[in-house]
Amino acid sequence: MASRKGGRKPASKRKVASTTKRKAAATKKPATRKAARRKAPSGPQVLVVNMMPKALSREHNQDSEPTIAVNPANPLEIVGTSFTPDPMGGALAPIYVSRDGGNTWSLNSIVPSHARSPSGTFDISVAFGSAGGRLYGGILRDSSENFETLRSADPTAATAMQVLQSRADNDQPFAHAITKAGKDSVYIGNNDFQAQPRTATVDVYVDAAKGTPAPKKVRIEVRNTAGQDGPQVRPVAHADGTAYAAFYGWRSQTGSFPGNTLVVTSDVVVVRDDHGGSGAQAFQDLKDPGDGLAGRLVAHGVKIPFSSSGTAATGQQRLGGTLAIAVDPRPGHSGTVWLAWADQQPRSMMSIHVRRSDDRGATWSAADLLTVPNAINAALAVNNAGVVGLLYQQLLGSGATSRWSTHFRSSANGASWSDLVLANTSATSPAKLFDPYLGDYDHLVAVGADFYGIFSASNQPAAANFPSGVKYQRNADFTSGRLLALDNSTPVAVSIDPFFFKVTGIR
Amino acid sequence: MPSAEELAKDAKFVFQGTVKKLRASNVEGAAANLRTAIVHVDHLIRAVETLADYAGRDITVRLEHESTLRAGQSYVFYANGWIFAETIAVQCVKCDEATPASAAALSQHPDDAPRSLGEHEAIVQAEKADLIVSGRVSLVRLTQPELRARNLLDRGQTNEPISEHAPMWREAVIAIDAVHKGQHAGDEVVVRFPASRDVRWHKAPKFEAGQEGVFLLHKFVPAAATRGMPAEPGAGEYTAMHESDVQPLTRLAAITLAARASENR
Repeated sequence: MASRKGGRKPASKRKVASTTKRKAAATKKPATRKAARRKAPSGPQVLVVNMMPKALSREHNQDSEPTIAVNPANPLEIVGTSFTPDPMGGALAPIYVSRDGGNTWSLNSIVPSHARSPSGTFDISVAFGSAGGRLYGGILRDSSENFETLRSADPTAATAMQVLQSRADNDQPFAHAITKAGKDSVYIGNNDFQAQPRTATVDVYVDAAKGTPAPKKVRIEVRNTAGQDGPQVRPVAHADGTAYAAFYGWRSQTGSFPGNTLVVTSDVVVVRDDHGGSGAQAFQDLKDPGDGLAGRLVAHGVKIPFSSSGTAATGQQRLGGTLAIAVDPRPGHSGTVWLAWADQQPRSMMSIHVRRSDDRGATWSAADLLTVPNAINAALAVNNAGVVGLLYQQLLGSGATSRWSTHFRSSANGASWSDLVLANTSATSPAKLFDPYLGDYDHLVAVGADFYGIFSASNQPAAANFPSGVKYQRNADFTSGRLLALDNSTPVAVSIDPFFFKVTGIR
Repeated sequence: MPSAEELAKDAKFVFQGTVKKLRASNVEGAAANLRTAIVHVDHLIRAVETLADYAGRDITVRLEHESTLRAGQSYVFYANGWIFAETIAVQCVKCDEATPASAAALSQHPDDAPRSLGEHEAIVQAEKADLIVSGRVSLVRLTQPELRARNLLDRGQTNEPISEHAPMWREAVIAIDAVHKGQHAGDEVVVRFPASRDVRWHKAPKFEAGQEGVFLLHKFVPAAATRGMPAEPGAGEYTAMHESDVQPLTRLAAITLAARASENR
């Protein structure tokens, strides 16, 4: 296993540093086989791992748009997903599985798919119940393109995931699960075109563990739209029964999607349900003070470029907005909820905004707690100390030297933010095979005090690309900067891989 | 339930291997039991390019049923993927005792397993195709339904969903040199194809004017469950959605043989 520590600094400075002080520069050192976990005497530790197994050293697929699930009952068991086809072209797509807390990964093909699928699924998102070890997922299946809800009692086994429901005309299913009183509540945000023109939907399962339960399809958009809502519908739930969801309410549009010029004027909407989404009027407990309708308009009339294809100016990544929501998991803190969204701003293709509500979504911080220009793929999570973590990918520079810089930031209060650069990789190489280049989302979760995340980036093996260190499973030579095949000598083309990371020690 | 023969035909990892140890595994997560064995890969017959360097390595094979293999014996294994870690574990759908003749008969290109797999899949696609022609793409254009849909979309007058997975249908006109399977009147055929580079469609062949080849065409069957999009191909219109549906003229002989065989069944 090739490991690499990059960016060595004095130990006292290797903890998560403030934005202004941090420099991501790394010095070249020979590849070592030491663990890549960064340790500071009193600060957080970070582990970054390229998830592609050694057996697939010759692989050069575009493994973008990743999600992650950590089994809260056994945090050593972690599942990752991305646009990864079965390496042999079989009819089941793989998930990435770790049994040792993310240090090593293997692929286990258990997701219903189609033989010779080039990407495994057309969208996939996974979540563990908080007890019982069951894994749930939402996919757009190859080749029907149907939205399917999946369940596995043991994702490390060879058994294919069970399909709980399947329906057409849908987009971007996004899963969240929580176990209450022995029942797995599963929420899958989705953009359901069968509900046009109010398409933002959350499929709610109040007891998903048993049998083949049918979801309650909760239409969370109540206002007029431009024909539909945005594809990002993000649910989150607290153990006390409070559930939230965030979505872009599309109100009007200009330009052309096929022409790559579409800009959508949207509201950023948060809905809440105080009984886990189980009632007849689900997700209508939070009203906007402006129009009195369900769904708080946290931002009104923001502009979202919704492009059909990434370009050089956008680091090969297509744009379409980004949305993340997280609730403080501590008992008595379900009223504290964090929200991140992105919109188009002057001189910034997309700017991420982070805000917080301390009163169950009724009022929100008047101004951004954090604003990140030229950034995509926001993901949020809150740990058991009430610290919020934010993952995003920021485009730096332009032209041939442009870079995707992947950050993990955290804050206990929203006022001061730590900043950890996980990756700083070329935005021009490898060339895009398809859209999306990095993914329409990445993912972050918290279990206990620890943050676990996943992102996709260029797998060019260079110490400077991974300022927080990195561990590769696939054969790689950090001295020559080359990926190598199983024989450890044949060069392999650079591609997009999923990277796991874990940040511990944040209080 | 497909037969073992049918499963073997679809197998993506076909190799000749020697059983080294029964009831054993060398892959974490693939528990050793009565159905598993460690097998030395002597020779790859069909394999994807990513796994083209497994000859000479030990892998784990899981059989459909309790093993009747014998240690030291050589077999042809028809397998699909299972676990990929430090090395690989595969699920075997069929295995036959290997003889030099049986292994040689399966290898179109003995030193190029990915090429053998590619040709095998082209033949499978040829068997499925409704119409096979050789010729040249004379024109690529937007379809009239797609043009109408775009115009409405641009004016905000459509309820057609805007999705990053939209196919963006176009049509290619192929000037036919010869028909190799099926029947077609006229010297041109129109093929609908998705121009989108989205993950949903990027592997579907993208036709370009002047392109020559063998075209394996399939009549479009709308999914019963969907609402149907305005610009979607109609039932019976020709499409070519699989990456093997456009083949170089050098494969014409093999495709023609497969096509004739499938027509005579």
